[in-house]
Amino acid sequence: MTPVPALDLTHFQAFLLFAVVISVAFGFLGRRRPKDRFKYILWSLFLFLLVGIGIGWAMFPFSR
Amino acid sequence: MDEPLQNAGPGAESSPPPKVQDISPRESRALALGVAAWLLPGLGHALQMMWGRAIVVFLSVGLLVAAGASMKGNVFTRQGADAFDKLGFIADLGAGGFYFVARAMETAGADVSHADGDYGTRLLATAGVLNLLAALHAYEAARGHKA
Repeated sequence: MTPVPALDLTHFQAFLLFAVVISVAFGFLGRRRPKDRFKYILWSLFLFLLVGIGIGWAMFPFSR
Repeated sequence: MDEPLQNAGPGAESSPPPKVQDISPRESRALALGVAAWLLPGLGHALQMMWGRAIVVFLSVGLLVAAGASMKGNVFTRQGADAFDKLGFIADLGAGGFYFVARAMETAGADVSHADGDYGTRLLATAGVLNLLAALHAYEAARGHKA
């Protein structure tokens, strides 16, 4: 197999990719009705972003 | 109040060995579906006609594996140097058949000297763990539990 081109993502893009994919998977596995799935995906994504960015800011004072 | 002890002491009659419960056809089918779901992400749900979940699991695990391998993440092998490598191998192997896809994609090897490679390693492990969760979900659904 030929080598695949390297994917070059920023920290935030990689974090966003992770959060979106996992939220969608959790939404489909955890809920049955489409409306419930949609709400769960949005809520899960929001919490991923909130916690991720929150931890990022919490570590900021120790980053230098 | 405690129940009296039965068959206690050296002179007591020995109780018959407990019967080994036969695995019901439903349970064995659920096990087979769980293994199928692990081997090919989404297959366990597809065989139960849960098409939406099957497609989402297949695409999610596939996307994470493709991104992780493209970012030159570390695909752990059986020959791990320490416990963390072995845990990484177990997590990566959770992706089932996609584990071998990741290894085939990374012909140039991993590069974790940059942040991208480190993120790729995490995405690959996430793909494996997500697939194990989906396989467990397919198994539980086949057993008739609410899913």
